[in-house]
Amino acid sequence: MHLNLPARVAVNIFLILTLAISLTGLMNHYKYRKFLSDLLRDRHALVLQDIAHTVESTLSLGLAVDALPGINQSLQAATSRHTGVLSIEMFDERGTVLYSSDESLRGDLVAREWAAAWNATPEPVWARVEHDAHVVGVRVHDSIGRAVGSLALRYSRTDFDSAVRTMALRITGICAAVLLVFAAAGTVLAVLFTRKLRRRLQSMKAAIEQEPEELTAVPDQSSADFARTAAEARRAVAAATEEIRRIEAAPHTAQVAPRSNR
Amino acid sequence: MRTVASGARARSGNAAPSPERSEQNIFRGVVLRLAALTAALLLLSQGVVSFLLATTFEESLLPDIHRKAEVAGELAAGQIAYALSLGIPLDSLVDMDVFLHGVLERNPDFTYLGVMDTDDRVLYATDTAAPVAGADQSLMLPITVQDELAAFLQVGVHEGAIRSELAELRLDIGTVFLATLLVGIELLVAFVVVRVSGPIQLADRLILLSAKGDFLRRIGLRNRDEIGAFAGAYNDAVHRVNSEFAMLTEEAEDARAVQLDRTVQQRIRDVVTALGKRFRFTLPGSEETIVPRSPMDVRIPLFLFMLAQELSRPFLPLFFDQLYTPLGALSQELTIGLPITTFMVMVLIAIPIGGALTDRIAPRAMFVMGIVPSVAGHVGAALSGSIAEVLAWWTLAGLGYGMIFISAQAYVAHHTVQSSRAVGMSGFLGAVFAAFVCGPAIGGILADRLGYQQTLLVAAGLALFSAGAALVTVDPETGRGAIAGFRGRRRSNRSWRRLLVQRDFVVLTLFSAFPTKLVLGGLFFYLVPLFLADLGNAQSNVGRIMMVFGIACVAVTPLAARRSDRLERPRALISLGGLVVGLGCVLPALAGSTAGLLASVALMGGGYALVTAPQLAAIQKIAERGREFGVGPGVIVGSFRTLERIGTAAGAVVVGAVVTFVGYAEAMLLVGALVIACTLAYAFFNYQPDQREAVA
Repeated sequence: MHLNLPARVAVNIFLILTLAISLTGLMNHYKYRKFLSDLLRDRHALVLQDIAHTVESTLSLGLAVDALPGINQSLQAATSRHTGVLSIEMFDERGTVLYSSDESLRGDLVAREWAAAWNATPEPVWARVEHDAHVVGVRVHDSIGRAVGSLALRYSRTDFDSAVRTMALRITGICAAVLLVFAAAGTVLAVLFTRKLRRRLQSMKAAIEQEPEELTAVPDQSSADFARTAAEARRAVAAATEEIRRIEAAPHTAQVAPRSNR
Repeated sequence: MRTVASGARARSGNAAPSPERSEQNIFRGVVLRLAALTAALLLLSQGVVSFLLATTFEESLLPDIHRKAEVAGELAAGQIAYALSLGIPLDSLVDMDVFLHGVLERNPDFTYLGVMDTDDRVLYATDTAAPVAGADQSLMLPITVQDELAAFLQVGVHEGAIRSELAELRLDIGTVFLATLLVGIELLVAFVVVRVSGPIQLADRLILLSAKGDFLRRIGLRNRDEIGAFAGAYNDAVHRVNSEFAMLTEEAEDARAVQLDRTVQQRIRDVVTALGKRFRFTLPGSEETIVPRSPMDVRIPLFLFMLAQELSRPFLPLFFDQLYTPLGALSQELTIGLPITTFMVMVLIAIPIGGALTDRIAPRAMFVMGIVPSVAGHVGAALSGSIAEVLAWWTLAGLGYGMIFISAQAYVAHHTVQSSRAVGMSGFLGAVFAAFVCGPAIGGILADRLGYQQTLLVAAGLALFSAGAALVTVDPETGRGAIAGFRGRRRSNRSWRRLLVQRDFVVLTLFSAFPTKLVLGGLFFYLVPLFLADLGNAQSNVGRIMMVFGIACVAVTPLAARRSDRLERPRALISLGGLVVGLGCVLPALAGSTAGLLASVALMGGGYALVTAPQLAAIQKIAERGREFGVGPGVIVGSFRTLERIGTAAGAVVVGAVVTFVGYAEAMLLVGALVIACTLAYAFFNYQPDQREAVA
């Protein structure tokens, strides 16, 4: 493909900018996603910590963990009060649901991954991502500090997914706009910055292509030197050709046969 | 076909343009301006994107951050409502001060909490100032009992505190900005050298040669732009001269062939020979094609490969820890350090073997071959289910690393003459350092989002891409066939024995090179990621902090190199650098926090950079007088490098063994104490010769 120097420079600038800006956009999208995810997790963890506080206060009265009064109602109230919360459960160390905002789940076993996540982390708050919801959990301790189970809150990822999608579009828009503006500026500046170089190269090319005596001005010393040397070489070759012909044509030279194809 | 650099070597300088002429080169300004233009566009566009994204993120996230504060306030209001629902009158609630202060402590965003009755009288409040209009936001949350409004909880939320939650995000954006800027600048440097300045320099050089009557070469450029057009005109001119000369020689041959008189034959021959004294011609079409080649050809593939390698830097020990399964009697800490050590041991083995092989099959082929074990190692490690598997795969990746490292180094060596080798190598190291800076940061963010395994697969893909880049940019012919003097010399046992009784060499290696490399391999590669994760840092934060090591290296290395060149004795810098590294190691024990570790990483990076260049200067000095004790300079430098790498390789297992018995901070303290002790020993042993010299 024939591209002149400014176009070639502009294409390269465009490619470099595209790569750098795309990388920036992608990395920032990842950061946004992580930040929002952590923010939502922390917000929902606050709700759970409040409930955990209530449960632990009740446990400290000496009641058994599976016989606490009013916990189901607390879970239902919290579920209805906070938009986006799908369900809240409390399960024991074996993973059996003790209390739930959905009473029909009592006695069921929670997903193995929940129990694993709860056991895996030494942190008081644990989290998991499921295909339709995010899950955040908080450990519940009895009065002697022993972990007796965990509260788990499932919240919809619709809002999160929608926010992430919207932000992806905005990032794409911003990156595309900046890329276009700077690529256009780069193209204009490439033309300006290479103007002198192009003129120089063109005059050098002209110097090489023309006979030295045809040159009106010396555009570039080395090109002019080269052009002069090349012309000198051609003249020397021509003179040598003449010299050989003169030697051949001399009357005293004896030839095997006269050359006819001269 | 020859390349411009090897051509330059063959001419040994007499035909090359003088430095003065290079300085006056009219193209230099244009090339510099083009580089500046692209760099400015890159910087500005990245800055604008980063700023706009930071603003957009703030706008999008602030409501969610406010909502979090609201939820915290609502929960406090709910607890008061619960007390009221038990029948306790609003004005008789006990210990409200304690309760409200507890809420205030748990929520750093809150500046004030006050409970007001329905007549707006404040009944309970924290002793902090009430919300200030403008600086704070005031939330008025209703406290209801059985659906009846009983009171209000007024919450003052500090706007600055809310915004400070976004500070980390801005820091991340800044990190991404820096990392992508470095990637862009790497590409820019390669573009300017390969596409603009390289061809122009080549054309300039050949024109100078031809202006002296040399018509043996043509410019091997396929650019279809002004540079290509100029090269085409030059090639045509050379071709025309050679064609005319070819016609002359043909005619002379014909003329001679038909002459019976030997004197006439000789006269014809003399005419042609006389031309050859002034000019150098060749057959038209058989001019030697010179392709613009430079050490920079390998820079982009090398950068991409190193970037792939560095992506896993911030999580590698954490990943190994995740896969830990007991391995014999080894402790967990030692086991997870093993793959880092075996990787380095494999690099150590691969470098001399790869060096010898590179001489036979050319650096490009070696580079591409090296990608195979590297990619296989990354993919295998990503799919590993146990520490034994990952150990095997990561060791294989070390083989690839060694092969690629030596092939790139060989390529640079082939395209530089002795006098320009340092400049060529600095370009080579530039790619390594750039990857060292931006790799961990990008790797940390990717690991946060994608997980360890997927990030390793991304690294494998990038390594594969670097092989593609090598196929495009690196000359396949360079270095094909052994070049005398470059191949690594075998170090005989006798050489080792002679070397290991040289006090300067032993002192430098044992008390400076070895401890600093131990810090690199043991602390930076192994312990720092584990320690940072243990302090609760997210993966991206680990990457960002590790990036500081690279930044400190990049910032300090040129200063240290200049200072080292000026100083007659680089020992002072070596001692200073050693002490800085030691201080960096000791710091986390004094301040066991993320900030302390950040400062520690910066000090380690700075100290490491302070030590490296003077160490090289010191070993060069020892190498210069190597003939005195019967060991060649190449063997001395090579042996030093080998011992250094042994230090890096040993680092992870040594520190892993230490961590088995003590905590992370204590392990760093012990290593720091060792480094400081070694540095003092180095200074002591070097002080004595100084004194002797002074007495003499």
